[in-house]
Amino acid sequence: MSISATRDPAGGQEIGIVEAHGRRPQATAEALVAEFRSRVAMLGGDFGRIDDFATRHELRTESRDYECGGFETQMQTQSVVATGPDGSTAVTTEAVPVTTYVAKTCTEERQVEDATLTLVGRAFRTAKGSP
Amino acid sequence: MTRMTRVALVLGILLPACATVNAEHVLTGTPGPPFAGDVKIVIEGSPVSAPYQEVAIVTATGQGAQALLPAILGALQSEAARLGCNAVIRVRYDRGKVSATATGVGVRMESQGAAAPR
Repeated sequence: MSISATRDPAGGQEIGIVEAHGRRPQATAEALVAEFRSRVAMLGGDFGRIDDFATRHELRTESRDYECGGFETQMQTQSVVATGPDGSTAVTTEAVPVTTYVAKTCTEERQVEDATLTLVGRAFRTAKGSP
Repeated sequence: MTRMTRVALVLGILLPACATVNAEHVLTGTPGPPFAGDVKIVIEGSPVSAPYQEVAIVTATGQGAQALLPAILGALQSEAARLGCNAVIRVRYDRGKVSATATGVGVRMESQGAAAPR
């Protein structure tokens, strides 16, 4: 199948309008033209004329969660039992620093721009491709 | 920090890091040896002054600092020159907030003389 962006086929019969679009850069120009070709073929055409190509840009906000926890130190009380030389016991309470990891989830937002390329054209059947 | 401030900060940090321009093509004709001269740009809607042979659809997309007309048209011209084109016709330029795209048809125009091999 032939594809042209500048001319109609000589003596070709126009059989329909065709469109192909895809988000870039995931959809390459090659893939979009392949999609255009397959749509021409679905209409029974053997020549595709691309009349227009346009890219539409759209901003969207993308967010992602990530772990942003950290170590925190807090004072905790602890009791210590001490046994004296005479066998007596004494309980003392003291404050000691204790460090622990505190898990936390943060959300980051960023704006991402999507570009969608659209090809619009016509499908033709040429004498060469007629049954 | 407001949501808008955070978004602006992230944009400010990320955009310079991903300032790129990418070009690609799809052959619709026969490419030739690379063209070493200046590739003419003909914007969509402008008349094409000479007979030509279609070679490929060419497209270039720039992001961040590269989302500027000179960088994108330059990439379009380079891509076309690689295919032996001396002009890109029907050039359409579409601009977004942080990226821009130019698409056109790479051709060999007869009036500009034969492609000079590199």
